[in-house]
Amino acid sequence: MKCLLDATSVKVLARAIHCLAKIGDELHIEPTENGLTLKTVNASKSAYSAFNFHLPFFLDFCHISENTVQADPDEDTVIKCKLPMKSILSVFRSIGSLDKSVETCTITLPLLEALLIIEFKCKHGIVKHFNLRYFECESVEAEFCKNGYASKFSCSSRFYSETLLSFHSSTQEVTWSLAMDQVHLSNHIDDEVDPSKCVRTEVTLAKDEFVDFNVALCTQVTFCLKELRAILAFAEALKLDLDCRMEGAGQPVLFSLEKTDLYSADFLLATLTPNLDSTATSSRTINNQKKNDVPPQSDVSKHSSPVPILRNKADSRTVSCANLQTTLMPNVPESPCHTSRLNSLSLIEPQLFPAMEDNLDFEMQPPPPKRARARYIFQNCLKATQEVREVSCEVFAPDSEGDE
Amino acid sequence: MFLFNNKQQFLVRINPTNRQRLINVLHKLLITKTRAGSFPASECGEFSQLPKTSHVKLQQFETFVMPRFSSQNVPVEQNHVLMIRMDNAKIISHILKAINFKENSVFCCTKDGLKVTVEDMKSVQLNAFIEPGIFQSYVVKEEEIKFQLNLTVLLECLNVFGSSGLQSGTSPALKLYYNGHGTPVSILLEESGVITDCKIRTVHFDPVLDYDFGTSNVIGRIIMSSECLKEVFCELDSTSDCVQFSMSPDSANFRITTFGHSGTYHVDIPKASDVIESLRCTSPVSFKYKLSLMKPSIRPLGIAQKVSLRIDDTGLICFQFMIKVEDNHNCYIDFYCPADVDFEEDE
Repeated sequence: MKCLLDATSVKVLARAIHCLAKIGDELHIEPTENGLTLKTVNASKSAYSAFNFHLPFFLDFCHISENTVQADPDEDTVIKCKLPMKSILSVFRSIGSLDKSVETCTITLPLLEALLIIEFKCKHGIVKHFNLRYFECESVEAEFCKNGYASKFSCSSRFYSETLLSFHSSTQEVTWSLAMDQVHLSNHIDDEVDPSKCVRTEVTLAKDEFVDFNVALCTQVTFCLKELRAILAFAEALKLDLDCRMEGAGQPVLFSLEKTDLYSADFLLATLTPNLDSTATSSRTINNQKKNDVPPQSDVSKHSSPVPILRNKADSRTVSCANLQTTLMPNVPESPCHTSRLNSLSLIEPQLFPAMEDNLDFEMQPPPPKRARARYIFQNCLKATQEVREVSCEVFAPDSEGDE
Repeated sequence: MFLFNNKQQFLVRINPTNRQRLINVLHKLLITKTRAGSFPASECGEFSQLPKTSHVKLQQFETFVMPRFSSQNVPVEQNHVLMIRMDNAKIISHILKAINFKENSVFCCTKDGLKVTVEDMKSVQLNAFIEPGIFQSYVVKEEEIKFQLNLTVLLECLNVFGSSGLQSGTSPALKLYYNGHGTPVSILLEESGVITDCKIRTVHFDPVLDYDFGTSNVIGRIIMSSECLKEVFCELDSTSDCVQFSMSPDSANFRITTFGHSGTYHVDIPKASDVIESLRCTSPVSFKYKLSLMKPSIRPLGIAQKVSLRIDDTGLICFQFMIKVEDNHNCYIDFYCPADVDFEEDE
């Protein structure tokens, strides 16, 4: 890959990297025919973000890394890479100094060296070269359909940030309650916190304050503010409108922004499952029932629902991912209620598949109190005896006595 | 230290035991009979030395005395070996602040000017040169006067009236005295009628390295804009242990390289660029310097207008910073740093 950017584009790219740096720890760089895509996933896999820079954004763009040594067209490849956010952030760290001195920027992924080469041509003829080492290429992708969401509304990013100013800076999660003519935001209070000791904030946004408002499903959705703040920092600096698409509680929320023809970005954030569904209990029952439930799962994967499937492209067994999930399910660690309730975006690694809860029949229980919870989680440790499974198979080698 | 404002009323307070002694001393000087408790401000004169006083109740004093000393009546110490007077003490504090990366400094005063040296680990050295023309009065009675004192304390005293920038605010006037080996350095600062007297103890100085940077050994020399180099230095990758300077007669650039955790970063400054005033290089030069040792050069880079870099054949680099003070005077700061030698590669 080889591309050339001018001064304004470099600043936009730097801001995008700052935004992605607040979300995840590793940056995936994928050149395509249509431009460059930068992606990241956060550590808990509950936020996925992708920036797509289209061809007009660049002064010059070529997604193929040419084999310069031997001009062999079969050898030309498209290199995708992943590097730690820290290293690329150190290059684009100060937007002020980029603004002052950088005139053009060239980014190259040569075929023969495992380096990402960034070159800044600055004022006074000074040239800065950055040779960054990257990791082997593996790509991460989330599949989602923009049109599959029930509710959609959009407004300027400045409006969102002004709204969020009403919330205390320590607020971590906000509940968005959608109604036909308004959106009501309130800070989400954890069950463990004493309700009488915390400040509740509620903001109502009427329909006409939005540029575009289309709510089909009245629902309540709760997700983390940290990623949203990072998104708004980017969007506000570039004065863009932000679209928000929501399905229902437990389903991921999609934020997107776009600068016509130049670039667009999508952010998929996981939401908390509603209070009634105790995912700790449901995981256990899912273990038991999933093994019998292979056909419905494959039906779900054929739906055009907005439920995303994060998969590693390197592993092409995506069709059978549902099957994979069933066999891996028993290994799901039973995490405490208050952390597993943030509904992770499903990955090929064992994670809860949100759509499952609709199909399964399970007890609805309120989250048990702390002690009971601990006892429940560590129940195997507290059991007096272990279940000894009878293994009846031929003994090929008898136990040896003592060390030899 | 005793502070008073000679435009307002001045009170002398002594404790009863010393009272008689003080009265005897003061009787030898100018004594004016006046109403107890006050003395007209117009009678206050200029002071070159302040009396040491202690406390007493004012009512016991019938005559109120105002000691008046003129600069000629310097009472005790007549034998200053060094005396400096300047109208704007901010100049000297501006320069000395840039070299204050370590506390101990050695002052070397000759008829050619004042040289202050700060050294670290017998390797890195910063020298500030202030020529006599910048001072209003510069008297050196011996061939060479050397003493060592705590530079941080000196700067705090010089900035006792507030440490605003070189251009802003009022500037205090300075008088500095030194009486020779073993005596403290006396500093008198005056601003808007308020006078401060400080005495800073001197220490027997440790010999400093004398870098004999002969011009015959210099293989690379650059004169460039200080601001540009400062920007480059401030943005150097801090995860790198060392920084490498490279230039050669064949290449068109002066290259600064760092080797950090994320990768290798180069900054190329073309010889033809307008930030480089001149670049002379007789043979290829490429030496590495520890980044931590280079850090003291950033402050002088910030205040200087131009900087000259010279590298000799052993890799010793000498930065010379030119700082403009007042209208047509320049002060210089030198910075020496040895190259980082990889002992495994030594034969």
